[in-house]
Amino acid sequence: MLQYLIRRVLQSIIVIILLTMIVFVIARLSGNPVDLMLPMGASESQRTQLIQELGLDQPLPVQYVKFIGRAVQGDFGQSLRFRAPAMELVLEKLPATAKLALTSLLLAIAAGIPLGILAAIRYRRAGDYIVTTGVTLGQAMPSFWLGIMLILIFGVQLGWLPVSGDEGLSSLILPAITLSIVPLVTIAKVTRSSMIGTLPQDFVRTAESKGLPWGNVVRRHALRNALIPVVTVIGVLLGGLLSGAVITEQIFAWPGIGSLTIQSINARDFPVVQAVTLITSTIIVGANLLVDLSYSLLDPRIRRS
Amino acid sequence: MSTTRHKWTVLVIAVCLAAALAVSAGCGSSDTTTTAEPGTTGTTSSDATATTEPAGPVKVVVAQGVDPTTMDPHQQRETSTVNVLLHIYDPLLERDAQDPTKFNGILATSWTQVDPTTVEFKLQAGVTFSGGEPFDAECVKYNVDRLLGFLPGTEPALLAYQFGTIESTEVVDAETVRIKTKVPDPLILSRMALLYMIPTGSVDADPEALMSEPNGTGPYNLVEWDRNNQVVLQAKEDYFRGAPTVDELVFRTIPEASTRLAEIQVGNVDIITNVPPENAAEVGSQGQADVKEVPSSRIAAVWLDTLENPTLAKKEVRQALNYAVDVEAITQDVMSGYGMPVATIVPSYWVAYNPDLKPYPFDQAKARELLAAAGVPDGFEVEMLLPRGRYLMAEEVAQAVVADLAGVGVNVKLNAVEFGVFAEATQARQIPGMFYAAWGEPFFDPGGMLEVTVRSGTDGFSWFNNPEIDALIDEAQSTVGDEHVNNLQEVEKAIYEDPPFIFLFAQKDLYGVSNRLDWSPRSDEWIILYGASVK
Repeated sequence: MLQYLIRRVLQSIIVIILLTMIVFVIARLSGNPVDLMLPMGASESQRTQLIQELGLDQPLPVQYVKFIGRAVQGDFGQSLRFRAPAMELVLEKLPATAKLALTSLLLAIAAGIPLGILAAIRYRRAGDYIVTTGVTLGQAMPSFWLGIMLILIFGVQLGWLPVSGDEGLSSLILPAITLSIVPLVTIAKVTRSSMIGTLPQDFVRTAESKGLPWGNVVRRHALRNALIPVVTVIGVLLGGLLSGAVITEQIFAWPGIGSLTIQSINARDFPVVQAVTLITSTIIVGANLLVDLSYSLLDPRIRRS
Repeated sequence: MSTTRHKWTVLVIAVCLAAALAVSAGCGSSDTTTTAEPGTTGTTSSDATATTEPAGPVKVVVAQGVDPTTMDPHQQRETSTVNVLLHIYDPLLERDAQDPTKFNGILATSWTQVDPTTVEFKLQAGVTFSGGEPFDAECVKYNVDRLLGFLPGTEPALLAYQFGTIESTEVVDAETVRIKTKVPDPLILSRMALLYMIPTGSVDADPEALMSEPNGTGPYNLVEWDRNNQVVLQAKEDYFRGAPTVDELVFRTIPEASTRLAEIQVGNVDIITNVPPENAAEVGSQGQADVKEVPSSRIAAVWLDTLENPTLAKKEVRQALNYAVDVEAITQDVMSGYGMPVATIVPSYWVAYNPDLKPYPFDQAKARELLAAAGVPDGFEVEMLLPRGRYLMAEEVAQAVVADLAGVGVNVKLNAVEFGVFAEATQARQIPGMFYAAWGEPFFDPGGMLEVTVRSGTDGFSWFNNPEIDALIDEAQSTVGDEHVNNLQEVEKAIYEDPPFIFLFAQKDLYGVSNRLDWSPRSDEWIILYGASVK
């Protein structure tokens, strides 16, 4: 078990390092911050000076090695736009994103699992069709559109909820709903198919024929077994939540790392983009690692292979 | 069995409803507690609340698309940052809101042009910074020296690129200071209006001292800067020009245009910038706000590569292109009236507007004649580079231009790219035959723009070379006063005849402004709330 654990942790670290490398190269391929920072028609000498100041005149591998060298010491560079430590900026904004992502995940679980169960036990009947149709609609709805619609309906027309920003619990509702749709749909679908697979199995039939109340059979016997794939999928969804937060935060001016990412990419603020990538990839890889480990605890066959 | 299944279904639905209720109750409860507080105090003494309410602080919220980048006024170049900092710091003088070619004194009481290369400023006495430091002539010198990197061991600050003509600063006495330029500089007052004063010695020990902790003489102090979210400013009761009527000023960062629009509709914010013309009608839909328009200092045009493209090198071809485009229709139909055709690149409210020049009329027959005379009677093919998402309605305008040009046989292939790609292509001077841009000229004087976009030379933004026009521009830029104006009008006449661009229009800027706020937008895109009030 310990060997397995060490192997998985090492794998995760390699994945993170590879990710930082890819982001480092792609960000620089997409353009440079100098032309965006200088006014139109700035002279070549002004340009050269700024390029040197920012250290962008060195070859890419040299820049990357320098970046890693400093990163190991906890220095992720200065934001080119804010001229403040990049990692500090990201960590400052992380709690807001965590709040939004976790609320969305809870909402998705609280609604997705019951909907999935409902569809499974009303398999091929009205309840199933309603849920499946709803799920398909939710899947087809771009979160950008949904967010703006929610703002127009609940923020502008009805005036019930704040339009944007982060001022107390009520301003969390609309962005959390927007962000929860994708995971909700996935959880409902996985729960439904997993339950459909479980309900006709012998142990469920046995429990049912023993005369146990139907509610008990569903909850105690079927659901417990059907939930294992759902737990796995929740771990995977975390990555989707963080990337979905980019769009949702942008729409709702939610002060998290998502909107920071967009602004930093637009400004070619490489150090901040790198810091964000490092943090989010660590979270996602870490979550997947935890899921894998818990899975292997639940199912010893995985550990041995 | 089916009845128990049915019961189970009901149970699941009930759970879902309960969950939904719990969520809404959880959020609702926080709402009710906040509203309950004033409610309960209101029942005990309704008179007390009535008397305290009008005395409450006046708060104004401005929504911008991006965050300010710094609190150091010398280390920035964006309007979004200036809009915040101009409330914390003061300049010597400020552009007049009504007539952008005039100036009003702030830290300076008066100024005179001593000779063509020297301006003398008389300063306000007794002004101090928030940190207690005095403002005087020595301070002005420190600011110029710090900006330009004249202090020992320092580099020029980011804003220095606007001040290249300054040679030195001379302290005459505590309240008199002289700015000397290397050559006669017609734009020196415009430049000085961009320089916000920091205290003497404030960045000597730590060059980044003001990055997050500002210290100015202006009407507000910084309370909170939550990056990418909001900046909160508090009015200074002892501001030397009188305490502002707006007590608290908040600049919120709302990146999404439709969200800013929604916020102004419901009255949560008081000012939004850059309202797209097609959304102008929505701003007032809830009766909370209205659209205000102001002529901008941004001029849209199509740049023509007269250096590399042999067809576009011909004067007749470029004249033909100007005849072929119906600018009037574009400003009316595409820009919904929020643009004004210009004869060249100088609108009527700039210094040195030449009233004798009228925009090229829309005359495609004339255009075809000129093309035939130039040896391309059947037109030609050319590509146009178009930066996306940077300039108001750029895609729509460019498409209309392309359609008009097709009418005279000029087939333009539009190449729309992200602004970063566009900036890189133009910097590297790798452009196809044409590109679309809207040039912002902060000084309301075409001199600087002509120097960069028309005068030949590889450093600038010009794809044009006419030695006679170069000489005219040089002359205009080395003279001040009336001579400067007359020379510029000559340049305008010359580029009207030999056009480096397809001349299009001056943009109008649209703001959403809440009905409770008494404030007018300015042509220079600056949002100045000192002097604004809430009804």
